[in-house]
Amino acid sequence: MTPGDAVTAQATLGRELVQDLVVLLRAAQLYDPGNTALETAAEKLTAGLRELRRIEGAARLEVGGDLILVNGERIRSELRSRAIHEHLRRIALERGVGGFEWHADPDTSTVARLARIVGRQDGPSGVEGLAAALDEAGVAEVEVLPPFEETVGGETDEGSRERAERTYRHSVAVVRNTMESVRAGGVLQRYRVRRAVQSIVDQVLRDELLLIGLTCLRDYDEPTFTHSVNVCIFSVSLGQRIGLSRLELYDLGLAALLHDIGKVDVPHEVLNKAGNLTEEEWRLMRRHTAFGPWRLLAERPSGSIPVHEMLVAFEHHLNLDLSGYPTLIAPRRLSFYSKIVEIADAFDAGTTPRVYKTDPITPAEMVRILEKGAGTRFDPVLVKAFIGLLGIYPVGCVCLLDTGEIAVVVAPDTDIRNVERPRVRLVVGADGERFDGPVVSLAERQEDGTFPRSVARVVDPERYGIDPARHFVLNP
Amino acid sequence: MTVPDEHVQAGEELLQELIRAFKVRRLYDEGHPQRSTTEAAATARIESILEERGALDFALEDGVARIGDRTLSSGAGDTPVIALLYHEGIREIVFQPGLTAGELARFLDQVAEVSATAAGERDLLARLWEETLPHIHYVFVERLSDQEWTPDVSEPRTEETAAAGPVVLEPEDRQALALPVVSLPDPTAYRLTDAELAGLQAEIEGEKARTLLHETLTCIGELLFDPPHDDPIPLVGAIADIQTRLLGQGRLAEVRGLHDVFASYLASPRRDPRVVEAFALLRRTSVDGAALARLVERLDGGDATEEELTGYLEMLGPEELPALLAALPEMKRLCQRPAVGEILARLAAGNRRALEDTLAGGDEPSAVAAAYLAGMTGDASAGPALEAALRRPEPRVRLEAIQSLKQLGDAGVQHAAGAIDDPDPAVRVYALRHLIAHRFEAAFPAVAALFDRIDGEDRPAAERRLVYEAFGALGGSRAVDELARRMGRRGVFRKGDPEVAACVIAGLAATGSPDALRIVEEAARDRDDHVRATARSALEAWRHSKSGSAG
Repeated sequence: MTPGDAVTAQATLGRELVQDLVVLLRAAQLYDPGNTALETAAEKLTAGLRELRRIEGAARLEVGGDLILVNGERIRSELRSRAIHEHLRRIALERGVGGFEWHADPDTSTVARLARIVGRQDGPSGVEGLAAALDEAGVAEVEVLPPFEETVGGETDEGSRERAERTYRHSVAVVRNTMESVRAGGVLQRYRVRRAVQSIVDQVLRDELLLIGLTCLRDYDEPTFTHSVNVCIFSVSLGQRIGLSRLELYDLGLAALLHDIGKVDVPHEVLNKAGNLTEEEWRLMRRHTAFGPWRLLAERPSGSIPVHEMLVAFEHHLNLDLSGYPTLIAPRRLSFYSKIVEIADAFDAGTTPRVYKTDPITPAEMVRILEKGAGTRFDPVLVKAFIGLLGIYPVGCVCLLDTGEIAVVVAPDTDIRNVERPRVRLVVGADGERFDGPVVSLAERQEDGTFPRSVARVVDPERYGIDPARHFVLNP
Repeated sequence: MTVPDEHVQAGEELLQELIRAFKVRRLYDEGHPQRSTTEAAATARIESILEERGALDFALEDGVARIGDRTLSSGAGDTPVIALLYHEGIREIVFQPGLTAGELARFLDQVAEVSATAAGERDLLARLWEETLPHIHYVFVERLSDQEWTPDVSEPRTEETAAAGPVVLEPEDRQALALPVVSLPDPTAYRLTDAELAGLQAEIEGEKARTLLHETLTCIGELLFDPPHDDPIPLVGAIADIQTRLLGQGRLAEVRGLHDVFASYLASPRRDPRVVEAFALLRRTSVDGAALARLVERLDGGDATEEELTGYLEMLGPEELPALLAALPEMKRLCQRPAVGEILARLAAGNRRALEDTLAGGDEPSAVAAAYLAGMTGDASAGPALEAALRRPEPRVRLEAIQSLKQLGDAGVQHAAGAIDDPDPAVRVYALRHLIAHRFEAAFPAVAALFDRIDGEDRPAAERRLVYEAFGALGGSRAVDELARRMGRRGVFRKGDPEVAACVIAGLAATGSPDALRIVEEAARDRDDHVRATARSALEAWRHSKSGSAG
């Protein structure tokens, strides 16, 4: 069974709690004890913590990397709350702690004391140091948590992975069924598409990396269907990264999932042709950006216009400078969602083997292509955010390490400064033996400050008989 | 798990309130007092139950709800709420303290809509997901049909390629190992700067503020120019729906914008005759009385500009004049705004045929509007149609027609003479005034005939005086003797009726004849105050007009 509505009271409470804590920490830096603003902020946070404990029986705040969790639930960083979250992350990093847990209902005075200790510029750091300081100040109900290690890739619990995989496979099935049904003259089953996108959005909001990992599943039989789902996942993940709201992610996801719906009007023999397409076949293939919006309008529910879906289906190959296709009668301004989907589409299309393109570009090469096209084909800020999301070595990339080992990238490091140091799963030892090795972080340093492992170069997985996808699915 | 009785009781009560609100919602429309009252009471009670007992967690089975190990009696029976939630895949639902009236209403809205939908097309989960319901939490299973689509997770889907032997690096990969690892010069280069974040935020906010209407329409426009299929119906249908929505919101400037977007296509040689025809229909249906009324309301309230209305009228063009005549409320008042009056007059002048047809056979409001606009045009050729309208049975049409004939000045007066015998006194008065103002001598015989019988008819005093005045004005010196006779007649037979004398004085003054002047001067010394005052005032007006004409 699946928990429904992601907009829970706890999530709302969690968001408010994070904001109240940051307000209090700032107030503690600015004002002396007894100041009204400080006390008001302490009262507010105290009330929030008590309410959270009342509803959930616990109040645990974890901060690490790009994540902030309240009672294990991820607090999404929207644009408007980004500065607040950044502030909290910086404090956690500076103090060398991963958060706090309140084991009893706090009162205003202990909350204010905690804020003064944690918020102080020259305050104690490290779990033990901070815990001792709090103890000394009589703040007994709070446990200082060690630096938070995000659990991703191979370390994630099986339930999460299974849920993510089910979401992925179900979405592919929905796209396949939808496109085949429309091709056969049936109606576009919007309900199923909506549910699929909702599941993807929920999954991305929980942990986008699990789904991003699954985009490595390359299926020669259904490239169009997996491509649509991958583009949806990349788009929603990028949207999440730049702070779109849940419903905006949903709109974006719907548009992304249906961006290639026009391909139902491209003949099978062209769509699945092995080898190079003729000029006429390419012309037909390119027509999918006109077939798509037509189809979406033909299949729309009465009285409604699928604006974003239609625009994305029409514009996703136009390019930022309108140099792409279709050829326009009049210049136009691309919709924001089209710009996102164009990047996601190019990335996935470039890295996916197709029947007519047996030599896919590696994800790392594709990142460079995106960078090269920034400003002309692609929106430069969105490209930057996309690379920030995936890293220079995106999930699924197979890398030769300077140790002679070969590893599959399973997640980018949560700290953007480590953009070239992802988390990888070792799959080939330095001796050339294959094994299911551990997940290691290339950002980890040795005692002397040097890195034990670095990426030497990206390699072609097929050349070494490595299937990156099998490291993201439970039962390959 | 044993649950305290109080908790179960609270659950029962919450469910009962929920079911009551749901039932009332199905019986009464939004805004109905019964529905509002019941919902408000149900929400208040549910809020207080949750505050008192904390979150209530219901497990759902087919037709029944449970709290812990206790089955609740509410929800069973003839109310399908629980069964519906269950069949839509919801297996557990939790109501949490803090639940607001808005949340509950949104929840009930969706459940009610789904309950009215055919079983195969229900989508409660999708709908609930789209709502923001922070205090209603639920756990669900996907519906069976979806599960059927989901391949078994254990199904092998990727080829196991790792079974091959040890890896031997390719030469170029081996060489890479010999080279030093090159790091990025600035690993933070991919972190968005504050300025970039602010730019993104501005773009997202801007995108929200944009309706994307123009983009949507231009996209459809591109498809019309290069149609992917030989069936324009999906495209035209979408345009029609957009127009309907805009009209519903009274956004007439956007309706005009919509038509502007497609103007180049409709003028291009690539246009599809079916689309051209559809657009003609769209233009016609865009004349929407309710939308216009809303716009006029906004205009009066200062929320819309005159340009919005004039732009819209301009977009419609003269072809839509008949529909506009029927739909535009308070046309006369709107025409007091010079820009609006000007464009309406232009539209009327541009479609005289429609104007005349409406004057002759349109319904009453349309004919009134047509008559008014005919006068606004100032076009003499509208005279015969207005004259014909004077024969229509509706007094409002005739009144408007006579007023418009007056607007046409000299050219209109010839068509007004017949109206002096109109059944409606207001029309007759306008007609008489018009004849007087233009001294339309050709109408003298008709006026003389009226004059002959006027004293025997029951007409208002003001009109009677106008008849005398018209007789004098149109007859000139020819009328003096007859008028004088009536004055004399007063002296002999109607000595006591100074009003007749006043009428005669008005008529004499209107003749402009010196003989008449003498009689009026004599009357200025009459022993009756009313006659004296009327004569003096006529003399003054006369002198004034003389000095005016001399000056």
